[in-house]
Amino acid sequence: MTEHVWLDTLLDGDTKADIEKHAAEAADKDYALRRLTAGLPLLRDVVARAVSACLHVDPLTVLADAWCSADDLQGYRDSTKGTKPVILKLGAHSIERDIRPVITVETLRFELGMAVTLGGAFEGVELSILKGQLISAGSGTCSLSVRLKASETAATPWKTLTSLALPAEYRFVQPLKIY
Amino acid sequence: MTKRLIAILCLSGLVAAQAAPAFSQSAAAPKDVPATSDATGGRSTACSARWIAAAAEKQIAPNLVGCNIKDVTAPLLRAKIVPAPRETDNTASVGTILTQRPAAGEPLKPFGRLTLQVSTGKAPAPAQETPAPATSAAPEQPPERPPVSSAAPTEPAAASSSAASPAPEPAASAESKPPLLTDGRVEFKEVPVSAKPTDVPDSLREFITTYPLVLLVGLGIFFAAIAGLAMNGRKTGRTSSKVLPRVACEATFGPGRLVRRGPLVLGEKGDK
Repeated sequence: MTEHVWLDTLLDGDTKADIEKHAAEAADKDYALRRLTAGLPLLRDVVARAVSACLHVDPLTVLADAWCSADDLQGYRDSTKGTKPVILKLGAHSIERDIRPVITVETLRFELGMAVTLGGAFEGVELSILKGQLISAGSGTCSLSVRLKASETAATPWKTLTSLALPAEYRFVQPLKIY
Repeated sequence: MTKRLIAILCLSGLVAAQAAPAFSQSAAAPKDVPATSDATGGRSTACSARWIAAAAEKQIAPNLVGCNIKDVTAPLLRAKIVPAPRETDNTASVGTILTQRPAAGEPLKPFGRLTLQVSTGKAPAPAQETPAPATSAAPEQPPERPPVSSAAPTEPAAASSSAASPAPEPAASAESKPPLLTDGRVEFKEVPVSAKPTDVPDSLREFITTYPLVLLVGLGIFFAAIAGLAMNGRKTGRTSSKVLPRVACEATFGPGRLVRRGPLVLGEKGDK
Protein backbone atom coordinates (compact mmCIF):
# COMPACT_ATOMS: atom_id res chain seq x y z
CA MET A 1 0.00 0.00 0.00
CA THR A 2 1.22 3.42 -0.87
CA GLU A 3 1.06 6.12 1.71
CA HIS A 4 0.04 9.33 0.08
CA VAL A 5 1.77 12.58 0.77
CA TRP A 6 -0.21 15.76 1.27
CA LEU A 7 1.20 19.16 0.56
CA ASP A 8 -0.46 20.95 3.51
CA THR A 9 1.13 18.50 5.93
CA LEU A 10 4.53 19.35 4.59
CA LEU A 11 4.13 23.07 5.17
CA ASP A 12 5.58 24.48 8.36
CA GLY A 13 4.02 27.29 10.38
CA ASP A 14 6.02 30.09 8.80
CA THR A 15 5.17 28.96 5.32
CA LYS A 16 1.51 28.75 6.18
CA ALA A 17 1.63 32.23 7.71
CA ASP A 18 3.29 33.56 4.56
CA ILE A 19 0.67 31.94 2.40
CA GLU A 20 -2.14 33.41 4.50
CA LYS A 21 -0.53 36.83 4.41
CA HIS A 22 -0.21 36.74 0.66
CA ALA A 23 -3.77 35.50 0.36
CA ALA A 24 -5.04 38.36 2.50
CA GLU A 25 -3.14 40.89 0.43
CA ALA A 26 -4.44 39.35 -2.74
CA ALA A 27 -7.97 39.48 -1.36
CA ASP A 28 -7.52 43.17 -0.67
CA LYS A 29 -6.58 43.75 -4.26
CA ASP A 30 -9.87 42.31 -5.46
CA TYR A 31 -12.44 45.13 -5.37
CA ALA A 32 -15.50 43.01 -4.73
CA LEU A 33 -13.78 40.81 -2.19
CA ARG A 34 -12.41 43.88 -0.43
CA ARG A 35 -15.94 45.28 -0.13
CA LEU A 36 -17.05 41.99 1.31
CA THR A 37 -14.27 41.79 3.85
CA ALA A 38 -14.81 45.42 4.80
CA GLY A 39 -18.38 44.61 5.75
CA LEU A 40 -17.37 41.40 7.50
CA PRO A 41 -13.88 41.79 8.97
CA LEU A 42 -13.85 38.17 10.08
CA LEU A 43 -14.16 37.14 6.46
CA ARG A 44 -10.61 38.29 5.77
CA ASP A 45 -9.17 35.69 8.13
CA VAL A 46 -11.55 33.06 6.89
CA VAL A 47 -10.40 33.63 3.33
CA ALA A 48 -6.77 33.43 4.34
CA ARG A 49 -7.28 30.21 6.22
CA ALA A 50 -9.24 28.78 3.35
CA VAL A 51 -6.28 29.25 1.05
CA SER A 52 -3.91 27.27 3.22
CA ALA A 53 -6.59 24.64 3.72
CA CYS A 54 -7.07 24.14 0.01
CA LEU A 55 -3.47 23.01 -0.30
CA HIS A 56 -4.52 19.55 0.78
CA VAL A 57 -3.30 18.02 -2.45
CA ASP A 58 -0.92 15.24 -3.42
CA PRO A 59 2.22 17.03 -4.63
CA LEU A 60 3.38 14.13 -6.81
CA THR A 61 0.05 13.96 -8.56
CA VAL A 62 0.14 17.71 -9.11
CA LEU A 63 3.62 17.55 -10.60
CA ALA A 64 2.85 14.46 -12.65
CA ASP A 65 0.87 16.62 -15.03
CA ALA A 66 4.13 17.78 -16.55
CA TRP A 67 5.02 14.17 -17.42
CA CYS A 68 1.64 13.62 -19.00
CA SER A 69 2.14 16.55 -21.34
CA ALA A 70 5.82 15.97 -22.01
CA ASP A 71 6.81 15.53 -25.63
CA ASP A 72 9.00 12.57 -24.80
CA LEU A 73 6.04 10.56 -23.59
CA GLN A 74 3.74 11.30 -26.48
CA GLY A 75 4.60 7.93 -28.01
CA TYR A 76 2.85 6.18 -25.17
CA ARG A 77 -0.50 7.86 -25.68
CA ASP A 78 -2.07 4.91 -27.49
CA SER A 79 -4.55 3.41 -25.08
CA THR A 80 -4.94 0.17 -27.05
CA LYS A 81 -1.28 -0.67 -27.09
CA GLY A 82 -0.04 -3.39 -24.73
CA THR A 83 -1.53 -5.31 -21.90
CA LYS A 84 1.35 -4.94 -19.48
CA PRO A 85 2.57 -1.65 -17.98
CA VAL A 86 5.60 -0.02 -19.51
CA ILE A 87 8.19 1.24 -17.05
CA LEU A 88 10.20 4.29 -18.14
CA LYS A 89 13.43 5.37 -16.52
CA LEU A 90 13.70 9.19 -16.35
CA GLY A 91 16.76 11.31 -16.07
CA ALA A 92 17.19 14.15 -13.60
CA HIS A 93 14.73 16.87 -14.16
CA SER A 94 12.56 19.31 -12.31
CA ILE A 95 8.94 20.33 -12.54
CA GLU A 96 7.10 23.47 -11.45
CA ARG A 97 3.42 24.01 -11.29
CA ASP A 98 1.31 26.90 -10.02
CA ILE A 99 -1.53 26.32 -7.62
CA ARG A 100 -4.02 29.18 -7.77
CA PRO A 101 -6.63 29.38 -5.06
CA VAL A 102 -10.15 30.33 -6.02
CA ILE A 103 -12.31 31.58 -3.16
CA THR A 104 -16.03 30.98 -3.23
CA VAL A 105 -18.07 33.14 -0.87
CA GLU A 106 -21.54 31.64 -0.94
CA THR A 107 -22.06 31.68 -4.70
CA LEU A 108 -19.50 34.33 -5.61
CA ARG A 109 -16.19 33.12 -7.00
CA PHE A 110 -13.04 35.13 -6.55
CA GLU A 111 -9.81 34.08 -8.19
CA LEU A 112 -7.08 35.46 -6.02
CA GLY A 113 -4.23 37.18 -7.71
CA MET A 114 -1.64 34.92 -6.13
CA ALA A 115 -0.20 31.49 -6.65
CA VAL A 116 1.66 28.90 -4.70
CA THR A 117 4.27 27.44 -7.00
CA LEU A 118 5.17 23.89 -6.20
CA GLY A 119 8.49 22.65 -7.42
CA GLY A 120 9.91 19.15 -7.47
CA ALA A 121 13.42 18.05 -8.36
CA PHE A 122 13.47 14.41 -9.44
CA GLU A 123 16.31 12.02 -9.75
CA GLY A 124 16.17 8.36 -10.75
CA VAL A 125 12.42 8.25 -11.07
CA GLU A 126 10.61 5.48 -12.94
CA LEU A 127 7.14 5.86 -14.44
CA SER A 128 4.64 3.09 -15.11
CA ILE A 129 2.39 3.60 -18.11
CA LEU A 130 -0.49 1.37 -19.01
CA LYS A 131 -2.83 1.88 -21.95
CA GLY A 132 -1.91 5.49 -22.39
CA GLN A 133 -2.25 6.30 -18.70
CA LEU A 134 0.32 7.09 -16.07
CA ILE A 135 -0.47 4.75 -13.20
CA SER A 136 2.46 5.13 -10.83
CA ALA A 137 5.84 6.63 -10.15
CA GLY A 138 8.55 5.11 -8.07
CA SER A 139 12.16 4.81 -7.04
CA GLY A 140 14.49 7.76 -6.86
CA THR A 141 14.11 10.90 -4.86
CA CYS A 142 11.95 13.97 -5.04
CA SER A 143 12.89 17.24 -3.43
CA LEU A 144 9.82 19.40 -2.91
CA SER A 145 9.87 23.16 -2.54
CA VAL A 146 7.40 26.04 -2.77
CA ARG A 147 7.38 29.72 -3.44
CA LEU A 148 4.67 32.32 -3.45
CA LYS A 149 3.84 34.44 -6.40
CA ALA A 150 1.92 37.63 -5.89
CA SER A 151 2.15 38.30 -9.59
CA GLU A 152 4.00 36.98 -12.57
CA THR A 153 7.02 39.06 -11.76
CA ALA A 154 7.11 39.16 -7.97
CA ALA A 155 7.80 35.90 -6.24
CA THR A 156 9.36 34.85 -2.97
CA PRO A 157 12.49 32.70 -3.00
CA TRP A 158 12.12 28.94 -3.13
CA LYS A 159 11.60 27.26 0.17
CA THR A 160 12.47 23.59 0.42
CA LEU A 161 9.88 21.52 2.16
CA THR A 162 11.20 18.04 2.18
CA SER A 163 13.08 15.47 0.20
CA LEU A 164 11.06 12.34 -0.43
CA ALA A 165 12.58 8.94 -1.07
CA LEU A 166 9.98 7.50 -3.34
CA PRO A 167 8.95 3.91 -2.84
CA ALA A 168 9.24 1.31 -5.55
CA GLU A 169 5.78 2.07 -6.69
CA TYR A 170 3.92 5.23 -5.73
CA ARG A 171 0.54 4.63 -7.30
CA PHE A 172 -1.61 7.57 -8.14
CA VAL A 173 -5.14 7.62 -6.83
CA GLN A 174 -6.46 7.85 -10.35
CA PRO A 175 -4.46 7.01 -13.48
CA LEU A 176 -3.36 10.18 -15.30
CA LYS A 177 -4.05 10.29 -18.99
CA ILE A 178 -1.12 11.18 -21.21
CA TYR A 179 -2.09 13.92 -23.61
CA MET B 1 -78.08 77.12 46.84
CA THR B 2 -76.41 80.41 47.71
CA LYS B 3 -75.03 80.71 44.21
CA ARG B 4 -78.47 80.40 42.81
CA LEU B 5 -79.71 82.92 45.26
CA ILE B 6 -77.07 85.44 44.31
CA ALA B 7 -77.64 84.82 40.64
CA ILE B 8 -81.37 85.37 41.10
CA LEU B 9 -80.64 88.58 42.94
CA CYS B 10 -78.37 89.79 40.14
CA LEU B 11 -80.89 88.94 37.49
CA SER B 12 -83.70 90.55 39.36
CA GLY B 13 -81.58 93.67 39.68
CA LEU B 14 -80.99 93.68 35.97
CA VAL B 15 -84.65 93.20 35.21
CA ALA B 16 -85.60 95.94 37.60
CA ALA B 17 -83.08 98.29 36.06
CA GLN B 18 -84.28 97.57 32.56
CA ALA B 19 -87.90 97.80 33.55
CA ALA B 20 -87.43 101.26 35.08
CA PRO B 21 -85.24 103.32 32.78
CA ALA B 22 -86.84 106.46 34.11
CA PHE B 23 -85.08 105.83 37.37
CA SER B 24 -81.71 105.93 35.80
CA GLN B 25 -82.55 109.00 33.85
CA SER B 26 -83.78 110.77 36.91
CA ALA B 27 -80.92 109.47 38.98
CA ALA B 28 -78.38 110.70 36.50
CA ALA B 29 -79.50 114.24 37.11
CA PRO B 30 -77.00 115.47 39.75
CA LYS B 31 -74.06 116.06 37.52
CA ASP B 32 -72.77 118.90 39.63
CA VAL B 33 -71.90 116.61 42.49
CA PRO B 34 -68.17 116.63 43.08
CA ALA B 35 -67.05 113.31 41.70
CA THR B 36 -64.07 112.61 43.85
CA SER B 37 -65.74 113.10 47.16
CA ASP B 38 -69.20 111.85 46.31
CA ALA B 39 -68.30 108.79 44.32
CA THR B 40 -66.31 107.33 47.13
CA GLY B 41 -68.33 108.99 49.77
CA GLY B 42 -71.29 107.97 51.87
CA ARG B 43 -72.57 104.45 51.71
CA SER B 44 -76.20 105.27 51.22
CA THR B 45 -75.65 107.33 48.17
CA ALA B 46 -72.88 105.27 46.65
CA CYS B 47 -75.20 102.30 46.13
CA SER B 48 -77.39 104.30 43.82
CA ALA B 49 -76.99 104.16 40.12
CA ARG B 50 -76.02 107.74 39.64
CA TRP B 51 -73.06 107.54 41.97
CA ILE B 52 -71.91 104.44 40.25
CA ALA B 53 -72.25 106.14 36.91
CA ALA B 54 -70.43 109.18 38.18
CA ALA B 55 -67.54 107.05 39.37
CA ALA B 56 -67.49 105.19 36.10
CA GLU B 57 -67.23 108.47 34.23
CA LYS B 58 -64.15 109.30 36.24
CA GLN B 59 -62.84 105.79 35.57
CA ILE B 60 -62.52 105.02 39.23
CA ALA B 61 -64.08 102.23 41.26
CA PRO B 62 -67.23 103.22 43.17
CA ASN B 63 -67.56 102.38 46.83
CA LEU B 64 -69.95 99.46 46.96
CA VAL B 65 -69.08 98.00 50.35
CA GLY B 66 -72.28 97.54 52.30
CA CYS B 67 -74.47 97.69 49.26
CA ASN B 68 -76.53 94.77 48.09
CA ILE B 69 -75.38 92.98 45.00
CA LYS B 70 -78.96 92.95 43.77
CA ASP B 71 -79.05 96.74 43.76
CA VAL B 72 -75.73 97.45 42.11
CA THR B 73 -75.46 94.82 39.41
CA ALA B 74 -77.55 96.59 36.82
CA PRO B 75 -76.08 100.03 37.43
CA LEU B 76 -72.59 98.62 37.24
CA LEU B 77 -73.29 97.01 33.89
CA ARG B 78 -74.82 100.19 32.57
CA ALA B 79 -71.75 102.04 33.69
CA LYS B 80 -69.60 99.59 31.74
CA ILE B 81 -68.23 97.97 34.86
CA VAL B 82 -68.22 94.18 34.99
CA PRO B 83 -69.18 92.91 38.43
CA ALA B 84 -67.55 89.67 39.52
CA PRO B 85 -69.34 88.47 42.66
CA ARG B 86 -67.59 85.95 44.91
CA GLU B 87 -69.44 84.17 47.66
CA THR B 88 -68.17 84.44 51.15
CA ASP B 89 -69.64 82.98 54.30
CA ASN B 90 -70.58 85.80 56.53
CA THR B 91 -73.29 86.52 59.04
CA ALA B 92 -74.25 89.66 57.17
CA SER B 93 -77.49 89.57 55.23
CA VAL B 94 -77.53 87.66 51.99
CA GLY B 95 -76.12 89.61 49.04
CA THR B 96 -74.32 92.22 51.08
CA ILE B 97 -71.05 93.29 49.52
CA LEU B 98 -68.28 92.84 52.07
CA THR B 99 -65.19 93.92 50.17
CA GLN B 100 -64.32 94.93 46.69
CA ARG B 101 -61.33 94.96 44.47
CA PRO B 102 -60.15 97.38 43.22
CA ALA B 103 -60.91 99.42 46.28
CA ALA B 104 -63.03 102.51 46.12
CA GLY B 105 -61.35 105.39 44.36
CA GLU B 106 -58.79 103.24 42.60
CA PRO B 107 -58.66 103.49 38.82
CA LEU B 108 -60.99 101.22 36.90
CA LYS B 109 -61.10 101.36 33.15
CA PRO B 110 -64.32 100.89 31.12
CA PHE B 111 -65.37 97.24 31.08
CA GLY B 112 -62.96 96.62 33.89
CA ARG B 113 -63.73 93.87 36.34
CA LEU B 114 -64.85 94.75 39.82
CA THR B 115 -64.52 91.80 42.14
CA LEU B 116 -67.06 91.85 44.92
CA GLN B 117 -67.09 89.62 47.97
CA VAL B 118 -70.77 88.91 48.62
CA SER B 119 -72.07 87.49 51.84
CA THR B 120 -73.94 84.22 51.75
CA GLY B 121 -75.64 84.98 55.01
CA LYS B 122 -74.17 81.89 56.63
CA ALA B 123 -71.76 81.71 59.46
CA PRO B 124 -68.22 81.10 58.35
CA ALA B 125 -67.03 77.56 58.68
CA PRO B 126 -65.36 76.79 62.00
CA ALA B 127 -61.61 77.00 61.93
CA GLN B 128 -61.12 73.46 63.24
CA GLU B 129 -63.16 71.94 60.47
CA THR B 130 -60.56 71.81 57.71
CA PRO B 131 -57.44 70.66 59.52
CA ALA B 132 -59.34 68.24 61.72
CA PRO B 133 -57.82 64.83 62.21
CA ALA B 134 -59.69 61.73 61.14
CA THR B 135 -60.80 60.77 64.59
CA SER B 136 -62.63 64.01 65.33
CA ALA B 137 -63.77 65.21 61.92
CA ALA B 138 -64.74 62.00 60.30
CA PRO B 139 -67.96 61.14 62.10
CA GLU B 140 -69.83 64.26 60.94
CA GLN B 141 -71.15 62.60 57.80
CA PRO B 142 -72.06 59.03 58.58
CA PRO B 143 -73.12 57.88 55.11
CA GLU B 144 -69.95 59.14 53.41
CA ARG B 145 -67.41 57.74 55.83
CA PRO B 146 -68.28 54.23 56.77
CA PRO B 147 -65.23 53.12 58.78
CA VAL B 148 -64.98 56.02 61.20
CA SER B 149 -68.59 56.93 61.52
CA SER B 150 -69.34 54.07 63.84
CA ALA B 151 -66.61 55.10 66.20
CA ALA B 152 -67.84 58.33 67.74
CA PRO B 153 -70.86 59.98 66.26
CA THR B 154 -71.80 62.09 69.26
CA GLU B 155 -68.66 64.13 69.80
CA PRO B 156 -68.61 66.19 66.63
CA ALA B 157 -72.27 66.93 66.95
CA ALA B 158 -71.48 68.63 70.22
CA ALA B 159 -68.67 70.52 68.59
CA SER B 160 -70.87 71.77 65.82
CA SER B 161 -73.55 72.76 68.25
CA SER B 162 -71.01 74.81 70.15
CA ALA B 163 -70.51 76.97 67.06
CA ALA B 164 -72.41 80.24 66.72
CA SER B 165 -74.55 79.14 63.81
CA PRO B 166 -77.75 77.16 64.26
CA ALA B 167 -77.65 73.38 64.29
CA PRO B 168 -79.22 72.41 60.92
CA GLU B 169 -77.01 74.74 58.89
CA PRO B 170 -73.65 73.06 59.42
CA ALA B 171 -75.11 69.73 58.47
CA ALA B 172 -76.47 71.15 55.24
CA SER B 173 -73.26 72.94 54.43
CA ALA B 174 -71.22 69.89 55.27
CA GLU B 175 -73.14 67.87 52.72
CA SER B 176 -72.38 70.21 49.86
CA LYS B 177 -69.05 71.52 51.02
CA PRO B 178 -65.87 70.44 49.38
CA PRO B 179 -63.80 70.66 52.62
CA LEU B 180 -64.51 67.00 53.00
CA LEU B 181 -62.04 66.45 50.21
CA THR B 182 -59.37 68.33 52.03
CA ASP B 183 -58.95 65.47 54.48
CA GLY B 184 -58.56 63.05 51.65
CA ARG B 185 -55.19 61.97 52.94
CA VAL B 186 -56.60 60.82 56.20
CA GLU B 187 -59.37 58.95 54.51
CA PHE B 188 -56.96 57.33 52.11
CA LYS B 189 -55.01 55.86 54.99
CA GLU B 190 -58.10 54.32 56.41
CA VAL B 191 -59.25 52.64 53.22
CA PRO B 192 -59.09 48.89 53.82
CA VAL B 193 -57.41 48.30 50.45
CA SER B 194 -54.23 49.79 51.82
CA ALA B 195 -53.95 46.91 54.21
CA LYS B 196 -53.93 44.27 51.44
CA PRO B 197 -50.29 44.61 50.33
CA THR B 198 -49.11 43.80 53.80
CA ASP B 199 -51.15 40.59 53.70
CA VAL B 200 -49.43 39.24 50.59
CA PRO B 201 -45.94 38.91 52.09
CA ASP B 202 -47.45 37.26 55.12
CA SER B 203 -49.10 34.58 53.03
CA LEU B 204 -45.93 34.13 51.02
CA ARG B 205 -43.93 33.80 54.17
CA GLU B 206 -46.38 31.25 55.43
CA PHE B 207 -46.10 29.27 52.20
CA ILE B 208 -42.31 29.34 52.35
CA THR B 209 -42.25 28.05 55.89
CA THR B 210 -44.78 25.29 55.25
CA TYR B 211 -43.57 24.11 51.83
CA PRO B 212 -39.85 24.85 51.56
CA LEU B 213 -39.12 21.76 49.45
CA VAL B 214 -41.75 22.64 46.87
CA LEU B 215 -40.33 26.10 46.64
CA LEU B 216 -36.79 24.82 46.17
CA VAL B 217 -37.83 22.38 43.46
CA GLY B 218 -39.78 25.09 41.71
CA LEU B 219 -36.85 27.43 41.80
CA GLY B 220 -34.56 24.70 40.53
CA ILE B 221 -36.82 23.98 37.58
CA PHE B 222 -37.08 27.68 36.85
CA PHE B 223 -33.33 28.25 36.79
CA ALA B 224 -32.72 25.06 34.83
CA ALA B 225 -35.17 26.23 32.21
CA ILE B 226 -33.45 29.59 32.00
CA ALA B 227 -30.03 27.94 31.74
CA GLY B 228 -31.32 25.62 29.05
CA LEU B 229 -32.68 28.50 27.07
CA ALA B 230 -29.42 30.36 27.38
CA MET B 231 -27.37 27.35 26.27
CA ASN B 232 -29.70 26.73 23.39
CA GLY B 233 -29.27 30.30 22.28
CA ARG B 234 -25.51 30.00 22.46
CA LYS B 235 -25.54 26.77 20.50
CA THR B 236 -27.64 28.20 17.77
CA GLY B 237 -25.38 31.23 17.69
CA ARG B 238 -22.35 29.03 17.18
CA THR B 239 -23.76 26.75 14.58
CA SER B 240 -25.65 29.37 12.73
CA SER B 241 -24.35 29.80 9.24
CA LYS B 242 -25.89 33.24 9.14
CA VAL B 243 -23.03 34.74 11.11
CA LEU B 244 -20.56 34.44 8.25
CA PRO B 245 -21.15 33.50 4.67
CA ARG B 246 -19.91 30.12 3.60
CA VAL B 247 -16.39 30.37 2.32
CA ALA B 248 -14.78 27.65 0.25
CA CYS B 249 -11.49 27.48 -1.50
CA GLU B 250 -10.69 25.39 -4.49
CA ALA B 251 -7.29 25.00 -6.01
CA THR B 252 -6.86 25.47 -9.68
CA PHE B 253 -3.66 24.35 -11.33
CA GLY B 254 -1.64 25.92 -13.98
CA PRO B 255 0.28 23.97 -16.61
CA GLY B 256 3.22 21.94 -15.38
CA ARG B 257 6.59 23.23 -16.52
CA LEU B 258 9.17 20.60 -16.96
CA VAL B 259 12.79 21.60 -16.89
CA ARG B 260 15.20 18.95 -18.08
CA ARG B 261 18.89 18.95 -17.94
CA GLY B 262 19.23 16.15 -20.50
CA PRO B 263 16.99 13.61 -22.14
CA LEU B 264 13.90 12.95 -20.06
CA VAL B 265 13.40 9.32 -20.90
CA LEU B 266 16.46 7.24 -20.42
CA GLY B 267 14.76 4.08 -21.56
CA GLU B 268 12.19 1.40 -20.83
CA LYS B 269 12.96 -0.97 -18.02
CA GLY B 270 12.09 -4.13 -19.91
CA ASP B 271 14.41 -3.26 -22.81
CA LYS B 272 17.61 -3.88 -20.90
